[in-house]
Amino acid sequence: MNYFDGEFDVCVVGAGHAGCEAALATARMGLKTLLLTLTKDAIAFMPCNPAIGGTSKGHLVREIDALGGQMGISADECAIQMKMLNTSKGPAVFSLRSQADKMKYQLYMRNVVENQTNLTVIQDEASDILTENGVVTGVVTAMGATYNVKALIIATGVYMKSRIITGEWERDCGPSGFVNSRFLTDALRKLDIPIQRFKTGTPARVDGATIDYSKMEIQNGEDVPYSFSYLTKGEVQSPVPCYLTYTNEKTHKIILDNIHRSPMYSGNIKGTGTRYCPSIEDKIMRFKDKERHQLFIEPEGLYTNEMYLQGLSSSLPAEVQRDMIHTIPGLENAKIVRTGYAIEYDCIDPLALYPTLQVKTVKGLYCAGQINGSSGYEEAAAQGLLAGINAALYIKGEEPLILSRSESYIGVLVDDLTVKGTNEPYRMMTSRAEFRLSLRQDNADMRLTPIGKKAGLVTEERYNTYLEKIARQQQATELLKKTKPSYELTKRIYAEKGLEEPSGPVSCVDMLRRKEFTYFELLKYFPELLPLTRAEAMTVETDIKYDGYLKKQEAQIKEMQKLEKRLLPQNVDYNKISGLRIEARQKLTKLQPASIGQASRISGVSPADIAVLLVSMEKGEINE
Amino acid sequence: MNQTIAAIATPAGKGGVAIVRISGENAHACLDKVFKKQNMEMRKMYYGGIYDGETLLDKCLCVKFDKNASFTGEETAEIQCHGGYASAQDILETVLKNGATMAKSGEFTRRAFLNGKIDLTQAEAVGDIIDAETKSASRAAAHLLSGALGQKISGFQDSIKELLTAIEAGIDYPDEIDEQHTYETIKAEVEKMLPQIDSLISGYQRGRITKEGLKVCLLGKPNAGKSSLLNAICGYDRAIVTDIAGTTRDTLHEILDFDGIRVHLFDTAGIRESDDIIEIAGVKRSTIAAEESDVVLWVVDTSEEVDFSFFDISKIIDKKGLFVLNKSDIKINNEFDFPVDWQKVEISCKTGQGIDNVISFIKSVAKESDTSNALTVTSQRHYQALINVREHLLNCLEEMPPDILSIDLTCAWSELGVITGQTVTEDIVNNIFEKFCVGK
Repeated sequence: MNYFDGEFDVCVVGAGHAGCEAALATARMGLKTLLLTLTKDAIAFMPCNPAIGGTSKGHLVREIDALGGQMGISADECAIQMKMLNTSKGPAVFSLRSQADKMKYQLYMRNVVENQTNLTVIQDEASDILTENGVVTGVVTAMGATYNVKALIIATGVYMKSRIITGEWERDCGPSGFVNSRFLTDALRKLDIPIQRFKTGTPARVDGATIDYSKMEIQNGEDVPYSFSYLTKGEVQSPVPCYLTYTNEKTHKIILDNIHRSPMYSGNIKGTGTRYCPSIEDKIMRFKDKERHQLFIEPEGLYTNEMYLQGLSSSLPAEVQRDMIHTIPGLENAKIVRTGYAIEYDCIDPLALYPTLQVKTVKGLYCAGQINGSSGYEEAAAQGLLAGINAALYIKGEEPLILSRSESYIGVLVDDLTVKGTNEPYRMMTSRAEFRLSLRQDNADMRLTPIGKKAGLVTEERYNTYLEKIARQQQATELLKKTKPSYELTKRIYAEKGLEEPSGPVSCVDMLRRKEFTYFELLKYFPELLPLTRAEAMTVETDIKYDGYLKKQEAQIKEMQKLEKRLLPQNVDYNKISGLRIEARQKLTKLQPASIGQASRISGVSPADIAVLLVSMEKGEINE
Repeated sequence: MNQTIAAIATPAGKGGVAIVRISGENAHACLDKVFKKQNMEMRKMYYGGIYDGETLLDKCLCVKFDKNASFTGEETAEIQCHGGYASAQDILETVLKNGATMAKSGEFTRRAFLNGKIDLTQAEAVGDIIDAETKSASRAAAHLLSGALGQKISGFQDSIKELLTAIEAGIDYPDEIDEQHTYETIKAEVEKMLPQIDSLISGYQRGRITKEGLKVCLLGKPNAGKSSLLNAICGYDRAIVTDIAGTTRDTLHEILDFDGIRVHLFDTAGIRESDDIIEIAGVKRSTIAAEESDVVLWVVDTSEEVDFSFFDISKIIDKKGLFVLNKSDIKINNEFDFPVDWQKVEISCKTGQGIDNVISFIKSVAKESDTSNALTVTSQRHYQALINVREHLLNCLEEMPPDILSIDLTCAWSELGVITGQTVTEDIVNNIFEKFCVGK
């Protein structure tokens, strides 16, 4: 029987990485929030690798943190190893990655959401969406409860009609055997939201006690502590190592001999897999010449012996997985305690969304996370945060928050999804960001904390921390400009560095422009400079060293923003606009881009079409 | 603010006046660098020289417009120079060296439109213009791509794409890419490309011919009718013509414009044995002029005995040349022993017969010299793109980390894309997954 169970401002469906951020954001912005989860034991569950961050994903975590999100703080709290990647490849691509204690992460997040003011967490399955005249009014659960809400955020991850498959074995369920979501796909279809079917997968876990680590290379974390969150005081240490080993010809032969039993190749899986997380069988099939593939053996946490075999994602039958693992050095006697599987699930076509993550056709309905066709915890959390902020702003009647490609990776992620769409699980990559020198992990706070403050999610504590940090950076830069050593001292410093003698004295700021100098080296010579944290020094140094490139990028950004500011109205029938090519008419009518800038990124819309659009706007055929 | 752009605003080819237009935030500063007038008032014409450094290029009329009163709605400057292709090209190149970048197709119009400077009727045409330009540009690109030059440019694009793919794969998958593309490998690849780009740039001959003009020398014995031919070609009396042999004692220089190609005509003193000091000097100059020219018009008086022994033929034997058989109306001679195997044209300067044939000969040589080499860059836009490519590649030789190198490489690739019509980003991402076995 259906029963009424209360009124909320916002309901968030799903308590994974997107759902937690969304619910925390709306609750923290003062809205009465309901978080529905299929099982409370799966809050912030990490069904795949035990890591948070990494290339481009580390940037996302920093951005989530800068906007007032939770993931950075939780990741710092639960890290058992921190590693800064790409330190030799330039300032824009430094990326922080943490090995997370998965169980601790779940418990920590559960504690955060359960103790959040304005937030109620209930275990039940959302089964229907109630709307009136294209506006969300409520949500119904499988047990019959009805909740009246003003906004609804769907963050069901990979749980909608999901199915996991290992060889010939399969089961209708979510990751790791959790129950799946059976009814929401149809509820979304009823609202004319297009549905796609994607596939992803995870490798086996083995018992660490059965691994011979002596045959593997040890991979330690950083000696110096790093953290994701700008608020994390104290030091995040890296006590736990990972290990590296490789597949070999024997492994590959077992895979090739059994490839017909892989559900991807037998045709049992219809969903579209991702190139970004290929299974080991995909790698072997596509790169036949490669003699070995590397495997990272990563701890799942401090309270379990389970070790994650990164690089060995597979949906081959269990005994084939066992046999291939036993060919790998160090894993000869390894006992598989969880078998790898592929998972197929329903997700929406993200082209159905505005860059606010609201569904175009239903006011107050938002989607975030893997349901939007993305992959990865960080991508999910970033969308959850944005959807949460926008749902809250919508209810408060305030301007929505749209992050642009030029100010954040989150902006790139959401723009890619909602403007270009995706036909495979989408992974964030630094190569997708055209302005990545400006979008560094070290300056995420400078880019986003003021925006988060304006939206109302950034606390006083965070904002003050930010103000103090930028004040120190400014002061440090001023001191660099002011500090001019004598010619004698300049010559001595240059000689010590093995550099050609300069023709006159050189100011500290000019020394720092050279690749041979770092801020901390200068600090040794000039104690009058400001002692900074490593993070602060990184920003100061990068802004000075790459000033020329940054200025050029700034100019490009301004060019781009001009087109972003030419807003297009919604519900335009582009078929009526003469001069547009047919493909452009169809795409534009379907996608209803919010701005000329967005329109220009749609595949199939040419510069000539953009010119026609501008003309039509001017003529009043399209009214802003 | 907008980048400062420049282009020749008048149609290509022949014309009395050509206009080089500069628009953008530094338009005035850019003009000031080449046209050294102080404190120019807005919307007032000033007369003076345009200089490339110390070299005077042309005497021109220049005018500045502020952004409220310009075609584009931006700070604008215009240089009105002498028509014909070469002068305006030289000036444009100088302007480009002084802070402006080459305008893209339709960019002035686009800016004018975006700044609300052109009205509705004009605006309606913008889409068509850009569309047409896009089409013609892609046709041009397709045409180019089938040629040797296009293949070469695509080759550069491919090399850069490989480098970028390797860099990006290494950045996004640091744990998984074994073979790191180090600075050294990138440098080696860039150093391989640079000399080839350089040679394309230096081979940019709007040709030397279109740039400097075609040098045509009139050669012959005194009173053969060289000056008459000069006047006939010019269409007005440039040289003094008398019946007295040896009237032209010095080399006369006239500049003409044939279909946008600059032609230098040199009328020389007639060549013969002489004791007259002045005439000897004149003859010497004639010889030098003939040696330095691209084309020799050897004028022969067919009304008298002909002999070619007066000139050391070895100095001009490799040149393009034409025997102009003058005075065909009163010729007495048909059989000559020509020392070189050149074409012959009969003319009469008196009646004007055959002059057209001489002119079309000059035009055909000029045209030939400009299009003879398929591996030659002939478009100003392509030339400019290559200059930009070179700049970005040179930046790659500075020892920078890969993410910075990738910025310059991406720019270099896009600039090459200006020529080939291909563009970037998603390409690289796709390429990473084709080339490398990465992903967890």
